[in-house]
Amino acid sequence: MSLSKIEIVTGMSKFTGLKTALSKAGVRGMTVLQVLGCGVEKGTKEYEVDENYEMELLPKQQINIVVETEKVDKIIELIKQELYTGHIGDGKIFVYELSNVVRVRTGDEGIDAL
Amino acid sequence: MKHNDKKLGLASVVSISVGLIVAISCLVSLGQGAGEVGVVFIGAMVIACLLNMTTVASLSELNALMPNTTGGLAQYTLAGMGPFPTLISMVGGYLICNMLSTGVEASIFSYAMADTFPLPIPSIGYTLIVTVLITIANLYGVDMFAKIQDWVAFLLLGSMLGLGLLGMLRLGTGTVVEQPYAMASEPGSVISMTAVAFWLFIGAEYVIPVSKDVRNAKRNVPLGMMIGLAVLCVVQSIMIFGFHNYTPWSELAVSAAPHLLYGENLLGSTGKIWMTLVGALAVISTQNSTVNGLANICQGMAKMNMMPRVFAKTNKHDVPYVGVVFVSVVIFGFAAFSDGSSEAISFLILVGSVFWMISYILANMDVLILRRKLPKAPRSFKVPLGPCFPLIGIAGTVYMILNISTDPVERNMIWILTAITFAVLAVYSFFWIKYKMKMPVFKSVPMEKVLAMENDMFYTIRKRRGLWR
Repeated sequence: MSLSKIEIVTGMSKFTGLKTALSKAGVRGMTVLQVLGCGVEKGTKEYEVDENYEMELLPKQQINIVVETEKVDKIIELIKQELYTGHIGDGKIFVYELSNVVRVRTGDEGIDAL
Repeated sequence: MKHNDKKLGLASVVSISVGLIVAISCLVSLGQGAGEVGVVFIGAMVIACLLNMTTVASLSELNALMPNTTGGLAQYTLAGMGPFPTLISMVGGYLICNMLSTGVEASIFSYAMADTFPLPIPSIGYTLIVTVLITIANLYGVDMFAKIQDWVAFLLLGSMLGLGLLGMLRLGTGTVVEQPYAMASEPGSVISMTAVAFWLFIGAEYVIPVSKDVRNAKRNVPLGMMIGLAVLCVVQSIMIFGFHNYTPWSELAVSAAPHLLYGENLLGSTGKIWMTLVGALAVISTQNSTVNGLANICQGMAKMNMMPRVFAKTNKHDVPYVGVVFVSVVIFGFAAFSDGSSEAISFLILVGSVFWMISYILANMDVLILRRKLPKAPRSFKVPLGPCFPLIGIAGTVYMILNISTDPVERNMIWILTAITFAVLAVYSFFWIKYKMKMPVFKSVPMEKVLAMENDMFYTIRKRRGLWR
């Protein structure tokens, strides 16, 4: 069974709701990083008139999860519903194919390592 | 707002959704409609209820697409069709129409109270007392508004159900009337009554302005509005069976206060007093919903520079207090003014109602337009079967506008006055948008920009830079 990595970059305030929703959906384990970044608006706040000339990096969080590839569509739909407000800054979701996962303690690989 | 701060549950959503709908005029329409065709009026009610459900479903989808907007309804049309239709439909259909109609309701209430409970005060005094109490309660925040609404809606629906069941099961103290169930059998006469029945379900969308205070709004807002409409349809159907057993159809059809007639026939003077109290509860519920809903709509419009900025100011309970006081004062003003000329005001309400129904049509159109503009945006609620239900909603509401009155002369007068009002509002809207908002009049605003207007800085920056006046 193939595995995929889902990487979510979103605002700082949305973590609790997302964690609860992912837990309910059966996701086992996640890695969360505090990061700096911006999207196509170059960090311009939504109420500003002019777009920033130079990129301004804003505090965000990056949430990494690994799931079975067949569950990716369902999980992405769930994440979209949870993060959506319609405002600029709701975030982005990146999906990668993953060749393998190894659990160090037991040596399990692939789906058994999740 | 943090999740835990959200104060309103599903029960409150249901009570708010029925809050504006059940009014004295609604009880009158129910009695007169049933008097015309008998219990088959329930068929017309079901059609009207389903039609209103299509609009409620469309508004729920828009609320899912643009959640947590202040006031709600204005923002959807601004994103879908631009500021011109937004300003016309909101000012004509919501602000003028609902403040007028609630004022007339309050006036009818004052007469009914003075007639049933005579006190040594002018009849308008009853309206003044209720208006002051509702204003103060609403100034204390959305939870106080909701508490009042929960209790009033519970007592109102409970009383209507009780009075209906007593009549349906023939448990009243009055004389049981033997008469046919149906006064019309052909489908055409039932369908033509849907225009009357439509008024028994209009206004459930007043939940939308408080949706940002609702727990699990994604589920509770659409579900609560649907439950509210369905419960009303059932309760009013039971009342019609009660009418059949205790009030001759011919008397119901011509009575100015058919609900009081039924109450008296059912339980004598006790029934009349009980029904008067039902009317009083209906007015309190309608006025409470109107004050809260319109104050929020004014606040949302002020954030978008569609109304003076003062309407966006809030007190320490996060209440747009200027809007609350303004709406209350105007309602009381109309109530006092309509004392001697309620027929003229009622006519004006019908004109305002055309704009209200146009705003329903716009909501259905907004759904179709925004689906085209943002086909992949996540929607926690989406009206099923593609464009079918919004199109049915549009067609049905157009039918209601075309049949707004059974009298062809009155109907033409309504349309003429609607056209004149439209022209006046169009001129007002054009100049407001052009010179105050400084925006393209007929161009829709991107959704993310409409949502950004929620932030006070959006107004402040544009005002400071002279982009907005």
